[in-house]
Amino acid sequence: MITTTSSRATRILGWLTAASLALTAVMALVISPPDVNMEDSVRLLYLHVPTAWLSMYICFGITTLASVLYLWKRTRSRFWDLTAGASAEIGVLFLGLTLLIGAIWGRITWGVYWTWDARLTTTAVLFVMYLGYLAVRKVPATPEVQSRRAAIVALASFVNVPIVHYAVEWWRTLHQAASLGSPQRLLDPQITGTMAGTLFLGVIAFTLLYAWLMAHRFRLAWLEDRLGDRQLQAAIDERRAEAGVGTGGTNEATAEPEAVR
Amino acid sequence: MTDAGYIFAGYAATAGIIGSYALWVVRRKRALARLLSPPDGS
Repeated sequence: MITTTSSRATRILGWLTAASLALTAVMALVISPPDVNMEDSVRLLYLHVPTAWLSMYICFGITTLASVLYLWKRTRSRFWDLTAGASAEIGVLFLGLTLLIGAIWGRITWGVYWTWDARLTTTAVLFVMYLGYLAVRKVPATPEVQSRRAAIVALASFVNVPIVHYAVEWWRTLHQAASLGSPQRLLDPQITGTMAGTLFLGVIAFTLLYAWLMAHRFRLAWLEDRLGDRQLQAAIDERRAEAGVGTGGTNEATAEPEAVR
Repeated sequence: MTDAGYIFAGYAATAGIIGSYALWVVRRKRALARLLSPPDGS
């Protein structure tokens, strides 16, 4: 009987993630001081910045890399397709949170939840593009066609990431420029001390969360893949039985899945 | 704390959305692993 589908490493990662998220919440809500200009609304940025950074650069970056490796014949494997899909789904979740928390912060600071600012608009477009990517993955086709089609859409969607990144420099926007993420800001940071420490901790906590979610989401994708194989084999066996042909098909899905141990 | 309602709403929504997603992934994964395990259930 299966009582767990997690490895020891995943469970340790899970506890580390929970502890770091709890510490981030305490630092952000209790210990970190209010900002001179933003006052207490700065506390929302300890969620907004890590989710934005992770979704755009890590989640969608890994989706893009895995898609390239899938499209390249020498490295083509189902592993890369499943990795790309799992990472994109978590990226969409984080980017949705970025937009939500940003809207709440905007209501406090600008007086409106939403404005058609260049950074906000390009981020919303990015969100819709990756929702489209997840939808494309569900369009019925053979597994190879489905994976190739999804990989191409992933590469096309990633083109928007640098546009979102540079939107605050290319256009005049309400959204503030990077506090840390550019070379000149690294030399003259706009955030220091406890506030910088809390932000850094938030980025680490959400990176651990991404790693934990990714481990579980990948295993789920792998199991869904095996279930699809099993259902296909069952359908073939059924048709053969109807036609009076022996069912000689092997069902690899009945074997204990390696990735689940 | 100024604007406490908005700030706590942001934190609660984040915890709720991530928690719900994590729970869905783990529960579905366990259900599929059970479904795909050998028939003797060992």
